Amino acid sequence: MEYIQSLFSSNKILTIYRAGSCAYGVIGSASDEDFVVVLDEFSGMMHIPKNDDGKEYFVFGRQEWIKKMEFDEGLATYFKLFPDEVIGNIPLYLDEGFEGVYTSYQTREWVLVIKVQLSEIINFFSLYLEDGILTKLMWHLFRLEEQVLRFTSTGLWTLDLSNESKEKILIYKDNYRLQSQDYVDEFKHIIEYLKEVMNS
Amino acid sequence: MAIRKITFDGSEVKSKDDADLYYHIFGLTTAGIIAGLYNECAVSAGNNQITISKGVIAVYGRMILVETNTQVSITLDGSKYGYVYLQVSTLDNSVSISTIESLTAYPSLTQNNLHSTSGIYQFPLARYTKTATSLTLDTSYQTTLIKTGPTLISEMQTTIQSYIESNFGVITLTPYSTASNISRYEITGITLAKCLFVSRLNNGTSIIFPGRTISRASLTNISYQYLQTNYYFIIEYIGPSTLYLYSSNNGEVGHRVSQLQIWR
Repeated sequence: MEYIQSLFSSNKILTIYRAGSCAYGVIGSASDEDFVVVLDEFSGMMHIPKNDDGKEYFVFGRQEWIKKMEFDEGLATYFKLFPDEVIGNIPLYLDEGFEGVYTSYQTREWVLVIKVQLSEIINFFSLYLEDGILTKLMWHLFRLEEQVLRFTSTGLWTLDLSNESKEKILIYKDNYRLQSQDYVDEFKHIIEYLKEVMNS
Repeated sequence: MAIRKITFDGSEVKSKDDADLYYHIFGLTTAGIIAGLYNECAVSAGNNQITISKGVIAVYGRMILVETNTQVSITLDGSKYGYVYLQVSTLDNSVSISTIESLTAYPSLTQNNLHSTSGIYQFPLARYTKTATSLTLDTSYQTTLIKTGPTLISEMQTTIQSYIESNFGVITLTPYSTASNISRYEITGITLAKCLFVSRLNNGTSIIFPGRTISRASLTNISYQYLQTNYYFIIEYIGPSTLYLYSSNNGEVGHRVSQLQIWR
């Protein structure tokens, strides 16, 4: 918090929370620690890697963060893949004045947004899979598969993952650079499943 | 005797001494026609004869003048492949022009190293095929030409210029796809660590990043400002050759990639 405040001394910090692998509980040996920072009166977004301790800060102005949570069309799809990262995620810092906004995204009915989210996810990852290419971010497809399965049977959207999924994700993160066709095929199957759910 | 005077008053200069010097001057070219002198031993065929025009040939630095319209007769005795060649023999200190033929392919020529030893060197002047009724000169065949210094320099200049133009400077890449407003490129034939990338956005912003940056990490973000708002540019490199580029706000036309330049 001190580090961010020193960089943005004239901006009020609205929230800081863990994101990426930390949020989903799948920290691998080579994982960075990712944090989302929301600032008041800041325009746009910035990515600040802090190389000395492996921490990365994804800094958003209030409006830009809301756009991300609302799947705004102007944003690159990449930023609309993880709007559920706040669910059950206790922030490291949350300004009182921002609590209502943050909580509203934590507690929103996922059924209202799941199809939009799936559409973004399918579009984004299909782009790479069409080229037969694996990217590190594709581990999200494993967690989404479990989340969507649970959602369709219970109506609950949580970030909890089974040990089996966590292990699968960690193995994938360590091996995605090998560009195995088996993974490409597996992800294509997951995409097909997500399409079915989206179109149901 | 361990040493021998050559270019001194009263000393004996042997033909091998001169030959060695010319061999060196001609860039240690084994044998060839000296370019620019007379008609460079140009050949023509007609009336069962091959005619060689005037020129000078150097074989391991030994100079031979071929006089105007030197002719060699070809006997039309069947289908064969042949050479007209100049033979230099340091065994008996002779030169001659002759032919050698073979039934199935162009025959081999004897080519001893006359700099290091005594022997025979057969230098091809022309190549031909014949039948029982015709003689055809192989006009595609090129004998070795010993070029002048300025010619060699000029040729080297052209070669270097061509090399520089094809290996350095800027190249502009066209994306093979822009699905989801993500520009996808194939980058091959360049050394990433030695290049500088310039990505132009539609709004005129130029984002410059070294190839070394993308060769180290699969996904790199570069922050940029436009009209007092912060954005970032995402560079995703999937080795060995695929590059994905897009801005955090690629939904807006102005922030989409319009051009990718690679400066080498």
